[in-house]
Amino acid sequence: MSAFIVKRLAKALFTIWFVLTLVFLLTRLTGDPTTWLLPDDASATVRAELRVSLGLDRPIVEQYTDYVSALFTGDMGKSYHYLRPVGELFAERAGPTLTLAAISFALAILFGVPIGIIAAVNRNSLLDRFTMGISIAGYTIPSFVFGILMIFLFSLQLRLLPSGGMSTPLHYIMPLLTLTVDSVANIARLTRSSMLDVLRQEYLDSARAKGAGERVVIYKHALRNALIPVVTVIGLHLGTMIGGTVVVETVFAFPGIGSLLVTAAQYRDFPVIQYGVMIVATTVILVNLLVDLSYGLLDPRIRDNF
Amino acid sequence: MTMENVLTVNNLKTYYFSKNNVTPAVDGVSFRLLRGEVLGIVGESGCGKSTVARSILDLLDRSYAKIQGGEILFHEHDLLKLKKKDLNRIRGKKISMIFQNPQSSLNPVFTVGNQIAEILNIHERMTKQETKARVIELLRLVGIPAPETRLTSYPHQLSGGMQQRIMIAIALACNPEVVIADEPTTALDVTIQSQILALMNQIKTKLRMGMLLITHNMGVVAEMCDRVMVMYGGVVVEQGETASIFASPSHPYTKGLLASIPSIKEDKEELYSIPGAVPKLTVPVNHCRFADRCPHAFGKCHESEPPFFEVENGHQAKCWLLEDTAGRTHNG
Repeated sequence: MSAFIVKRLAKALFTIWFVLTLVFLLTRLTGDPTTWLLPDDASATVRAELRVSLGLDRPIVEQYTDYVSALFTGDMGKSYHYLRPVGELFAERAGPTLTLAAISFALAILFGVPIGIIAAVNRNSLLDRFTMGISIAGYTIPSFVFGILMIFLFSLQLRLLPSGGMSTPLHYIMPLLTLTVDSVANIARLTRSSMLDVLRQEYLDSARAKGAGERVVIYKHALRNALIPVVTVIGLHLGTMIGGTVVVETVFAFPGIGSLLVTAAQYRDFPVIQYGVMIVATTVILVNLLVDLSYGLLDPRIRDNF
Repeated sequence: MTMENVLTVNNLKTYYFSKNNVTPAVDGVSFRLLRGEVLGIVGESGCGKSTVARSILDLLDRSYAKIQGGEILFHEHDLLKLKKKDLNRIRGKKISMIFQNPQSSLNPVFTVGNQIAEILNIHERMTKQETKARVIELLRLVGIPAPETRLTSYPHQLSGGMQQRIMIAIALACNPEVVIADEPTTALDVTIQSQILALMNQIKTKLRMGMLLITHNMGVVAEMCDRVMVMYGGVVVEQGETASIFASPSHPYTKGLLASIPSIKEDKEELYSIPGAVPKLTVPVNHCRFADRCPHAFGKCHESEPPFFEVENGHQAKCWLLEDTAGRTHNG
C-alpha cells in the first residue's frame, strides 16, 4: 500500500513538472508581451528596454531555470499587467473560486448520487424517465449557453438575480447552477447505470435471504459496489469544474481565478498564466491521486493489487 | 423421527410473464418437508425447480415472475400472506438459503466475517464479542481452517469451495428449521463437490433441520435425499422415497434421467440422453408435458394431463401408462 502511494506521488510530481514546462514553452510561443503592455506607437527601443527589464531578452533555457528555481523559493514573480506580485493576486481571488468550486462539487454529489439511486431503484417509472430526461438536457446544453439563458431570464426579464459580480450570496446562485448542472446530470446518469448493474447481482438476493430489509440491501450492499465507478467520474468532475470556472466567471463577471486567467491570457501575462496553470494542474492531479487511493477503501479487490 | 411438517407447499403456481405469453414455470406444485428430512427436487434446467425455491423466500424477479396461486405454509403461517417485515423475520432466521454460485452470492466488498455477522445482527441479540465467537464457531463447523484469521478475508481471497462453506455458515448461523439449497455444488470442482456434500450430510444429521435440496444430479440425490420429487415442465411428475424411485422409476422421464447417469460397469460408447429439449409451454396446458419427448406416448398423452397414480406406498407418478396398473390418487 505505501509503495503504491510513493509510486503514485512520484508520478504526480512528474506530471506537475511536465505541465509547468509545457505551459512555460507554450506561453513563449504566443508572442511578445510588450505588444499589449505598451501603447501601439511605442518605439522599438522602449520595447527592447521593457523586454530586458522583464528578463525576456535572455536565452530561453536561462529563463526556464530561473523560473523553476524561483518556484522553490516561493517567488512567483510579478504580473506584467497588474504590476503586482502574482502570489498576492491569486490569494485575493482564490477564495471566491474555491468557494464556487467547492459548493458546486458538494451539490453535484449531494444531488447526483441520490437522484441516480432513486432512478435506478424505480427503473422505468415516471420518476426515472423524468429525471433522466432532464439530466440529458442538463449535460447536452453547454454551460455558457445555460448561463446566458439564465441571465436573460432571471436578470433581464424577471429581475430577480444580479447578472454579475460577487458582493452578496445572491451573486453566487446563477454561477453555481451553471457550474453544477452538467456534473449533477452526469453523476446521476452514471450512478443510475452503475446501480442498475449492481441491482442484478446475486449477492443482493443472498442479503435478502438473510432477512435484511430492502433499505439495507440497497444502501449497504448495492451502493458500496455501485459507487466504485462513480467515484472516478466524481474525481474527474472536480477537474472539469475548475476548468469550468473559467467559463462561468467570464459569463458572470465573477472576479475569481478563472477570470484572472482569461485576462492574463489576453495580455500575455506570463507569470500569471504559469502560476495559474500550476495551481489548477496541481489541484486536479491531487484530486485524482485521492480518487485512486479511495478505490482501495471501496474495493478490497483493488487493495490487494496495490 | 417425528413426523412434524415444517414446510408445506400447496398447489403453488408461479408464472413468468412476457410481452406475448405466459409461461407456467411452476404449475401446481405441492409437497411437505418434515423436520430433519432432506427432500430433493430434481430436473433439467428450466423445469421450475429453482423457481420453487425462490418462490418460498420471495426472491423472484418481480418484473416478470408472479405467484399466481397456492400456499406456502411455514408451520401454519402462509408466507405468501405475510407482510414484508414479518417475512424478513423468517428469512435467514427460520428458513435460510444456500445459492448455486458462491462467488457471486457473497458481496465482494465486505469481509466474510462481516457477512456472517450480518445475519446474526439482524436476528439475534448478541454483544460484539458473542457475535465474533459465534462466527468463529460457525467457521469451524463448516470446516474453515484457522477461523480467527479468516474472519477478515474478503471473498475473492478464498477458493470456490471455501466460499461455499462461508455461504453454508451464513445459512446455518441462526439454527434455521429449513435450509433451501439451490444447486449448492453445481458451480464447484468435482472433488470440492464431494467435500461440500459430505459437509452438508454431516451438518444435517447434527442439526436436524429440514433441507430442500435442488439439483439436476441424480448422484447427489442418491447420496443426500430421503425423498425426492422429479420435476418436468413446471410440475412434479414423480415423487417418493429415494430408494423406491431408484429401484422402480415409473415415469418415462425419471427412467430417462436415471439412464443418463454414466456407468463404469457398462461398456457403452455413447451416453444416453433424452431426445428433444424442455418444451416451451404456455398456459393452459392440457396434455402430458413430456409427451413430445416420450418414447411411449400414445393418443391420450396428447389430449389430457395425467393425474398422480400410486406406484407403491407414497411413491406416485403422473403417467397415463400407469392408469391400468396403479391406483389413482386424490391429489392428482
